[in-house]
Amino acid sequence: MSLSKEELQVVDQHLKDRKVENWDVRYEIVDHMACLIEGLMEEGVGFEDALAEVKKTFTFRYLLKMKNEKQKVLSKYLRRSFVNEFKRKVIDLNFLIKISLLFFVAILLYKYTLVNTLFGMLLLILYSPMFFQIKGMITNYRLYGKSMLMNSVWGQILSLPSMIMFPFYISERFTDKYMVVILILLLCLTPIMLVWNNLLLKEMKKLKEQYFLIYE
Amino acid sequence: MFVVEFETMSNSKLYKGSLATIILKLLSQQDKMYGYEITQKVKGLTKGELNITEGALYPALHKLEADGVLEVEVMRVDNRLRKYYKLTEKGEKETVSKLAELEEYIKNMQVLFNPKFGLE
Repeated sequence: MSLSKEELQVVDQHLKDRKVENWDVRYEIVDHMACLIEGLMEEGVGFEDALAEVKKTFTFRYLLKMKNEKQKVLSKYLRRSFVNEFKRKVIDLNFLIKISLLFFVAILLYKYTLVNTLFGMLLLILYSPMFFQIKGMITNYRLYGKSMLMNSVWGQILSLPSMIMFPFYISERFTDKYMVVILILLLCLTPIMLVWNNLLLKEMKKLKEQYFLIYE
Repeated sequence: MFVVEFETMSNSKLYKGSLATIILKLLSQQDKMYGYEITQKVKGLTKGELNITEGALYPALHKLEADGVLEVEVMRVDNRLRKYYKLTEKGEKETVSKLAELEEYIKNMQVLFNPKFGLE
């Protein structure tokens, strides 16, 4: 005996009401609850009663604990992957060229001239694709859940300095002292941000491939 | 009947440490399994004496997946999506070492608690 689409929606709604937003967790729990309900229905219990019985186990607190456990695992995994990815990137020639180029452009842009502005434009072109990534991340928000989105947003926030700094480079409102601090901050954050963004995109691609059925 | 639930019984701590090994062992015998199937399999094999709760099973599965020991395959079954877990290459090696470790542990426990040759 299998649950109908409508009955499954009722189960899904129960999880939504209890703020289980991460699809990865929700689909799994819906399936588990559905199996338990089907088991009870095979013994002659009606859907409503079976659902009420199963709901007794999947309380708000129980689901919250499961969600938190998943979040812990995910955060730990992302941190570990970040370190591994960073180690890999440090010896990656393409990555080093990109960073060296950024350093070079940043030094040139230290003072505003026409040539520096042109280099600034180059910097802008180099970094602009990253900002379009956020659109994809928001589109896929429901798939990855709030936690994943927040991780992406932090990645984007880290990348913001490189864009925000551009007008500052060509502005004379900032004194040299501030410029140096901002420049150092930007240069330190950029490699971290690049690796973090790459990692998140890779993870999101993996999840999307796993859940390709949703897009059918 | 004495039912051990991983989350509620105090002596479940002994079992909790072996949960990953239990999952790996089951997956080494079957190509792929999903969460509910694992709980039912354990219940069936232990004649209902061992009951793995969802709150213990899923975090363990997610951790093994994050460690690269398990990989996931999502399939559509009966109007819903089902997440199957299967061992990776790393997982197969991990299973062998975990089982050897557990076997060694059981052997040592038997020596220690055997009334003839043990602590008494």
